[in-house]
Amino acid sequence: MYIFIAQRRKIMQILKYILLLFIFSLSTAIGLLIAKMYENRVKELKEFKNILNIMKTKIKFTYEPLAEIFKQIAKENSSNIEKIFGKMINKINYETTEEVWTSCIQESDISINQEDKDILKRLGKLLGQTDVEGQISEIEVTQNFLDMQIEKAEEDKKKNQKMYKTLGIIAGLVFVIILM
Amino acid sequence: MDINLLFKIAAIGILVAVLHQVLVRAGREDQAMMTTLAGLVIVLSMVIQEISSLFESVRTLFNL
Repeated sequence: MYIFIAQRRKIMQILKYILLLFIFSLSTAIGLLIAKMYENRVKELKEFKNILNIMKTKIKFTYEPLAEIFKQIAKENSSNIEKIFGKMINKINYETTEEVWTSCIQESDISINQEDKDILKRLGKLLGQTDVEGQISEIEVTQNFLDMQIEKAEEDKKKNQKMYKTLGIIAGLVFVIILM
Repeated sequence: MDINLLFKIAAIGILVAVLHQVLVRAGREDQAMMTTLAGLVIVLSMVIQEISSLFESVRTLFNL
């Protein structure tokens, strides 16, 4: 009987340490994930700028319809942003361009924040509505705004990335020590 | 009294100090203040039983 109780206590002890390790790794992972979000935002904004550049060139020189341009952008389908354009292709035959553009940007599940999304959504108002000159100038305006957002995002990243990494690890350690 | 309690309090103290430094460096003085206060409250809640037992023993010692 005593042996049985001692054995059970030992098992509980091991279980406790396993759970503490689990809490620590979870907290560290959350910290790293938030830090990663800041990095992803910069990357995605840069990618959007690049894609807008491609769109501008295509509108200027090949006069292809938007559906065709989206199809070419989404062809590789590797990053999250290219997947958004893939979604746009599916919808563009049934709704207006503005609706498709705004809804797809808004519903996209990426790291950019609401401010970035609003800037991108403003482009949808003129896309596919005016002549080539108007669209190109609108894309250029959006690119300038994106440049500003990229600068802001870089600043945020520099300020917050390291902090969240450290914060996750230390918060995990504090929890573990309190519960030990 | 369990000697582990002392080590625990020391470890929490060190970690809260590091946390405070990290948050101040990132320009979040308010949160740094809050974490320091939270650390204080946690340590106090750990120590309060020991303090009450100290008062109890003083009372029994002098028959108050």
